[in-house]
Amino acid sequence: MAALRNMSLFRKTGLVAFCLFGVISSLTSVLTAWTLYGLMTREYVSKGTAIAHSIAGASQEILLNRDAATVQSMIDQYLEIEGVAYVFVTDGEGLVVSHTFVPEFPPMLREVRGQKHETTVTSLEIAHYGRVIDICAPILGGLAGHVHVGMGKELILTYFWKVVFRMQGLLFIIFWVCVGILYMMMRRISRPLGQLTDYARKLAAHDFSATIDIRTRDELAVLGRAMMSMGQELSLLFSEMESEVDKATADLRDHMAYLAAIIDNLADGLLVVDVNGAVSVINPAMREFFGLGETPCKGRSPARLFPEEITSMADRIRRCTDEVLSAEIPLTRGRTGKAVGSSIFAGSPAGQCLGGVLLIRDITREKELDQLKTDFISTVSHELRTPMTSVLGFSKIIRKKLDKTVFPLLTGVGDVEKPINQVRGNMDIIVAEAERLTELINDVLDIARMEAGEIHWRDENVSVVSVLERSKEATRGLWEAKGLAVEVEAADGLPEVRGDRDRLVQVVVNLLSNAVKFTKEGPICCSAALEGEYVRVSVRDNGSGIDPADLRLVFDKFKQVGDTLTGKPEGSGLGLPICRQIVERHGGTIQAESEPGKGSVFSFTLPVVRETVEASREDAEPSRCPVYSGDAAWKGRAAPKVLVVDDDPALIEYLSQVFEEQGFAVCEARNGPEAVAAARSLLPDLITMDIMMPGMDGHQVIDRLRAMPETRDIPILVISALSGTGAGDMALLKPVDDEAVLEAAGTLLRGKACGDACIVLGESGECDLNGLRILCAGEVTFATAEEFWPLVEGGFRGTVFIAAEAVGGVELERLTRLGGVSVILLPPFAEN
Amino acid sequence: MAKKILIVDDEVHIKMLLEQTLEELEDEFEVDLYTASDGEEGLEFIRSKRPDLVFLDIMMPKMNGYEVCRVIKDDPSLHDVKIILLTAKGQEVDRKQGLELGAMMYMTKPFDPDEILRVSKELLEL
Repeated sequence: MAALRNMSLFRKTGLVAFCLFGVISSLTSVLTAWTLYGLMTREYVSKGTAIAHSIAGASQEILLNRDAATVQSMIDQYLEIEGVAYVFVTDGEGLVVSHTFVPEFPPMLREVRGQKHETTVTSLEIAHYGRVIDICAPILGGLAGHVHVGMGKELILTYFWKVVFRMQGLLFIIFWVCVGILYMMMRRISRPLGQLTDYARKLAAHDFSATIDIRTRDELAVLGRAMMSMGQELSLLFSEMESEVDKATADLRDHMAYLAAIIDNLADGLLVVDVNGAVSVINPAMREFFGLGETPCKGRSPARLFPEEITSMADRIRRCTDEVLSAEIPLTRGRTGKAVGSSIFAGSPAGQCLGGVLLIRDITREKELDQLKTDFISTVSHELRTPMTSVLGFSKIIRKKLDKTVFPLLTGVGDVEKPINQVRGNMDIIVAEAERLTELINDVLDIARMEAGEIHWRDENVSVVSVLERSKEATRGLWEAKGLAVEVEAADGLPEVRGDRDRLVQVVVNLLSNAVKFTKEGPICCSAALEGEYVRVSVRDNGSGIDPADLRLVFDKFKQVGDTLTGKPEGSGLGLPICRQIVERHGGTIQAESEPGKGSVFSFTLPVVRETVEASREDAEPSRCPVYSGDAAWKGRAAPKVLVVDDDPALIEYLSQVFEEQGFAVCEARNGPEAVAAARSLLPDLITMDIMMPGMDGHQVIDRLRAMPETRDIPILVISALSGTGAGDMALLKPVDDEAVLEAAGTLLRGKACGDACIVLGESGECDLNGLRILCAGEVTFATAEEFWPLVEGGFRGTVFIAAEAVGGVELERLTRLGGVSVILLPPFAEN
Repeated sequence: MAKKILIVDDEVHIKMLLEQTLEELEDEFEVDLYTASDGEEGLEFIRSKRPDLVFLDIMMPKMNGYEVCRVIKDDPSLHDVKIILLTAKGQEVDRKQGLELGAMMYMTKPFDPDEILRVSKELLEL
């Protein structure tokens, strides 16, 4: 029962049933009692009426006779009948003839008057008798009087209550019997329900071993079975899930162990810092690199554990920047490490930042290898160059001595013409091959040095057009010898690129000489055009072209296109790889396109740098020089004009004084662009040049001046702390004294005017030698057309005389481009 | 007064080559040629005879070319001695080092005899 009470469902049902039962039973008993009351009242009334009529009928004569005693006895009899409270008879005048009241007749009854012909029923309440129903029946239509019979109502009420109580009692018994039966049934239902509940609780507590046994053969049994199978299903699912979770956990553990093993066994040092800058992961290699041993590191600041370089890197990478930092860092035991650091982002590309990771690789061995490579290059360089020097040098000396001394002695001696020519030819071959070998050695060393990162790259603004022009000039000998033409086409307003001018010239020269090598006729086109943020330089020929299969190999080392067994390879096969190295170092790419039989296009791109171009132009603005509109200002002045270029104002002042004292006109420029502008507008007779200047250095200025036809011939005296750099026409070392400067200037100025030496194109017999002696202070050389170019281009300074007859065979334009060479055309030789 | 040219090189062949190359100057101008086989010998000569021009090899026994240069640079009385470094080491660092040590020029082997002649004439102002 206690269990039952605890169940709110049963309690509620019980309560409702109890109330319902109470209401129903009360209503039922009230209805029944009321019906009984009404029926009994009617019964009593009819009974009373019957009695009244009986008395009335029987007592007519008696009454007429006024025999009261008889009436009395008669009515007394009726008093015996159950429910009759009283009987009395009145006469026609309403006087009471006889009555059954003891002791006295209640006076209130005298008021009750009956009707003449019908029976009346009246409810009254009489003292001592309670409530009664008075039934009044007339005797002989009221003439003989009336009979009154009083039926006691109390009896009816007594019965009424008796019935109510009995019924209530019965219903009460029935109720409790019902409750008992219900309880028994409930128990039958609630036990399996309790079992189900228990089972469900156990299931909820993940106890899948519990069972349920309901044998009621009703819905509960079905429910029980369903729950059992559900429990089994759940148990199965649960165990499956558990095994899955176990497996996943094991996998995860394995994976973590795998990662941890990788990190622990990493030869590189690994350091992870979180966003707060504290160490979160560190591997043994890292500990070893910095001699940390077993020091606890996790959660500590790198500043307490690592040197300054690492600390600052860690601090930068944890700030979640996109940059990748790298640095060389000294490690313990004299080792060197290369550290690379970057920020960590969860998810790509810009997820949540988790800090930074730093990897350090021990590059001690690489550094050693690098050093080894450098040493090797240095050694090979020395060991190859020294014997080559002897071979080439002696070959040239032998050739020279044979030509100058030995062969002239032998001319006309017997049959020596052929051997002499053979020896001369052989000497030429030896020299040419030695030169080729030298070139190969230079190329090999060049590329080895580039790969070893040994080359120092200059970083300057370079005009692509000037590179093309210089390359064209440098290869002039080659293409003119084959009778080819080189056309330079450059788009207008081409921006400058940034890089090493000489190296870029090297690239174009290489491409041009390749083009010349494989072209038989037709122009070679060398062009430059803007292509987005790049300048593209292309060298196009219409030579033999390259097979598509070979095209991708041309930039590989020692690859030469074509059959190298039958076709004689020319060059080292390193030219294009060197070009590629140079172009890639400048941030560009190099490509080759070709169609066999139709020609090839080799092109490369160089990134444009616009802002620096602007900057260098601005630099050129402030010039301390009066910029004359032309060279008119100088005309009429006999004094030589000197442009002094130096970034040191003190030295400018000093040099200006030195020159001015000697009557020179002096102009000054403080930087490269200013110097170039001044030289172009003023056309001085001499320029003194500093090499070390900010922005544009002396080499670049000299290169630029040499590239412009109008300034090409101006002699340049280099006055620098880094003397002898091979630039300019002469060099003086700082500190300089005035005598040395003036002496050098004098030499250069004299050299520019009709120089010491002269070359005459033609035979000695064709010239007025006396006239020449006046013009030439130095040696006079007579040259044939074949000897002429090697002589002139081999560093000759002086005056070249060309007879009018021979002018047609000489390219005057080419001649005038050479520095330090003056040309005098001789008038037609007069017979007399 | 005859100009003095000193050739310092441990390689006999190179020394011969330079000698033979410069003989042309000896014939034409008043130039005397001298040779030395290592740095020490060369430096001794430079100190005693004050040559006008020195062709100095870098890789030599006893005392290398850089050391010779350094000594000359530190001695103000030797400042008018012009030095041309002649070397097979063609690396940028070597070149820079040589010029910083006060060499007038830096020529790499193999060199062209004509170039040697031209440079010598220029530096000796012949």
